[in-house]
Amino acid sequence: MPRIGHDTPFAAPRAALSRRRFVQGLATGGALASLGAWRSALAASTGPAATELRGTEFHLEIGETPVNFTGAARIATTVNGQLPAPLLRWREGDTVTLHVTNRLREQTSIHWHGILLPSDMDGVPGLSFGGIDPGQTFTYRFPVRQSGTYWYHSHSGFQEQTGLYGAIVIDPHHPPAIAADRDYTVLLSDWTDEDPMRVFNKLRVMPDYYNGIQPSVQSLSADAHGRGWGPALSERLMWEQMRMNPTDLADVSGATYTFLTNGATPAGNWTGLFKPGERIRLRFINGSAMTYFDVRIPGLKMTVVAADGQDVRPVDIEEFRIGVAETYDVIVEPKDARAYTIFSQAMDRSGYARATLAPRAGMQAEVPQLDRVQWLGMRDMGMAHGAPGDVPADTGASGHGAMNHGDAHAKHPKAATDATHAMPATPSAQGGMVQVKHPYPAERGVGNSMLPDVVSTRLDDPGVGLRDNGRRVLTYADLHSVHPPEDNRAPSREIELHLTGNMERYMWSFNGVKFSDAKPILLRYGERVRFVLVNDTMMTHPIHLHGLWSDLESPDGAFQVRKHTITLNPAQRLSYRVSADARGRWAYHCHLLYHMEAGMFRAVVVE
Amino acid sequence: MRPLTSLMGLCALSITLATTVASAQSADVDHGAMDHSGMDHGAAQAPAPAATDHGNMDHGDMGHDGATQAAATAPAAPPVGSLPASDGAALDGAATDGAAPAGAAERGYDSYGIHPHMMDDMPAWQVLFDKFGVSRNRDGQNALQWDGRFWFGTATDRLLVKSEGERENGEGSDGKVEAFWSHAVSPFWDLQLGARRDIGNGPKRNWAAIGIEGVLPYNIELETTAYVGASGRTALALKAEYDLLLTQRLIFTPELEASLYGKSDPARGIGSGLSEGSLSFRLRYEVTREFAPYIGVSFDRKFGQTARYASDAGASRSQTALMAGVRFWF
Repeated sequence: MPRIGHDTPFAAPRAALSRRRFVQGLATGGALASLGAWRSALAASTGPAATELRGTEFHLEIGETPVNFTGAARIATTVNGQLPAPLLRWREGDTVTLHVTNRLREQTSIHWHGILLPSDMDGVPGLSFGGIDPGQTFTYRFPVRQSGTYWYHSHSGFQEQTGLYGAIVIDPHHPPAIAADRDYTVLLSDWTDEDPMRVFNKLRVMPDYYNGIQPSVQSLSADAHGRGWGPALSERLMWEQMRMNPTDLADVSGATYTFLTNGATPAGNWTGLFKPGERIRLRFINGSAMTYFDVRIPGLKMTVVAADGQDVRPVDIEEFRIGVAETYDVIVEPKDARAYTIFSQAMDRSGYARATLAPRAGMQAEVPQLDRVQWLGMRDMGMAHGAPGDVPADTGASGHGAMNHGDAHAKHPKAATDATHAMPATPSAQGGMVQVKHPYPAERGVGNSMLPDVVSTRLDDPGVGLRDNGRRVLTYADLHSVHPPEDNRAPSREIELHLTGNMERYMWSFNGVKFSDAKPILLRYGERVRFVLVNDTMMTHPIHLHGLWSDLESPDGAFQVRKHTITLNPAQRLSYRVSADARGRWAYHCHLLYHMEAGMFRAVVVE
Repeated sequence: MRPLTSLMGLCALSITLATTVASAQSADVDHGAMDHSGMDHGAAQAPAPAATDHGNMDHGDMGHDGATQAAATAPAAPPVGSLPASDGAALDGAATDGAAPAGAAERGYDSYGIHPHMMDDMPAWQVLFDKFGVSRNRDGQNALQWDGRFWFGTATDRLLVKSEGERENGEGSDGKVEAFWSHAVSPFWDLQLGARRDIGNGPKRNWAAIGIEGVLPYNIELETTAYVGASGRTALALKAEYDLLLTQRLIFTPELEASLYGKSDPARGIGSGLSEGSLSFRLRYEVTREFAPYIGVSFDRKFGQTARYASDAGASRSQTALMAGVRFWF
């Protein structure tokens, strides 16, 4: 049974605003056109995701644009007056020139996420270049050496939260192996009416400010109603004893966020048109500041054909989780002349983004209920008895040392079949639980409140909230690059980084050392290195290395899939290979915006 | 004299306790230490009940001890375990930065021209009044109550100013103001060094203060401060509270407070030893996170010489009061 948050979600900052309107947003919401006129509801929500700019030379003007998503007028940071920013369509092999002009009163920048380029074109102020000052134009120019779905966003302050993000689609040299009749980008994002600096400050003052699903007496009694007071109470006490929160699924939630699809609120309902029988390529991009989405289209099978812009062996699924900054291309083939809802619920179930695929504008399909909240379990804590299925009864028993295995597992035979007791003695393709050491002194310091005992190397865990939900959910185990990397040497050395954090103080870091106190990670040009990431924390983090591919390995150490952003579940250990084939200074960070700003960021220098 | 000695002992005990709590912290959060036995237990013995559910489990593997397993299951044993030396890694047998450019690990951002604008050192601040309201006791006396704090600083180092007390209608007031440097010593604990000044009725005593504040297992918030003042005065203040969420907005808070003194201070009506204790229960409703009206009841009791001073002054030794107010912060 999934964990349940029965309470009314906490809508702290929006108490006065009608909850429904806040979650749903305004039907006509979005960016006002640069001329100041409202775009009509229809024009705003149907057809292409954003203005598409093609060619080799682009003029992008970053400015402030009034928007209204919730009934309250706000100022967004936009490109050419648009939120999301215009879709940039490039061609593999071209050299693109992008003139970016800053019309803001503060510095800005654009980072081309997942794009291989010279490091001085990467757009990270303080690493790649000095940033773009107000009134200045910076010209980016670089050859396009790849194809697929990517995106771009500001790397300055919180502009990424206030609207500065857009899609990049690069058409390949040769026609794609997977042809499609229609091609839509589906850019998911999270919008807040609050000043992001205020959001950040609230998190630093009260880290669970936006968490409206906390353990309470109400949820305890519901839990006890389901399985008796003994197990319910013992699990609760276990969490209390550890001073950890099993509902710490998202730092920033629907309490302040309105979730957008292509810049449209759920009520705005962005709609992509199709004719029955057509093959549609949906290019999902998670351009959120903080939100993981679980995406499905009830009634349609999805075939995943690319991840982070790179072709993967097609895999049929019903649902996928998309980490912040990840992209997935899926093919759908609706046969019926009916509408389908693209339902993207936030990982903490505090809200959803919604869009529609339909034969005609204005058609709608049913919008599913939000799934129930699933609590973090023992496996997410890195305690030895976690079973892959997030077994609540399990947690209560083993949390106390007073272990009662019979009780713990008896109720969950299914989950126990691949439980952690069956540790493989040799590396296996599935992975398992391994013990970890914590070699960094600062991991035991103020900045890190958890030291998992054992961590999972499995790639086939869909993560908290999606376990055993009865749907076929994509996991990293399903992703296999079509082409192996050109440089597929075995790594010559290994760099182990632990993702660390202290939610109580809102501190985030690698190895317990926040950015300011750390030194650059050095790679020698031309070497092939294995990065080993161990997630000490109980949160899910998307880790992004700029400029260099992250070639994810299977648990037995073989190359599996090429990505630019890699999600780690709580208490998970993943490894990937990196070819240091581009000199310069590169950013390496958690792509949750407020984690990054709090210090979960490193500089990588290839010299 | 005896109370003083015992109180000094208590102070020392409290500080020892504080240190122990703080240092035990790392052990607490380290599941490696805490639950390791559980882990081994699980790996070694768990099969019995669990195995019945493991249709496809390989029992032959279960005999391995954890270390062997860890080594064996590590993905294709890496050629060299090379960790960023700048983070002070000390993994057994790992050559730190083995293949990195020599000496390079010692160099900071400046030598690479790296100057990003991160906010990880940016200070924050908060003004929080846990209690701000009125109380009315059994004798019908009304009082204004406050318990607030202001802090400014980073996640690890803060200037902290606290004040609590009450002003009775026509009866004068009692309270204290404190200022600390609050320094994080472990994930859940701060060590606090500072000073206190008593306000209200009687002489205004000044104290040097050392305390710890943090969260105990089971999410109990604890503040303990030991004080040393002029003329050999010593004191100890303890406060523990727990927030029990009834719903997401309705929160029940039991709070226990106690103060101890090493020396009688008749001018302030304080006797040596355990002088006062208070148990209160508040129920607040968070209209927003920042604004939460509360109602509550408190049971206060004076002990020993302090109680006798109170009796002599015609006041009662113990008192029950109802309270109402607002918890707010910004």
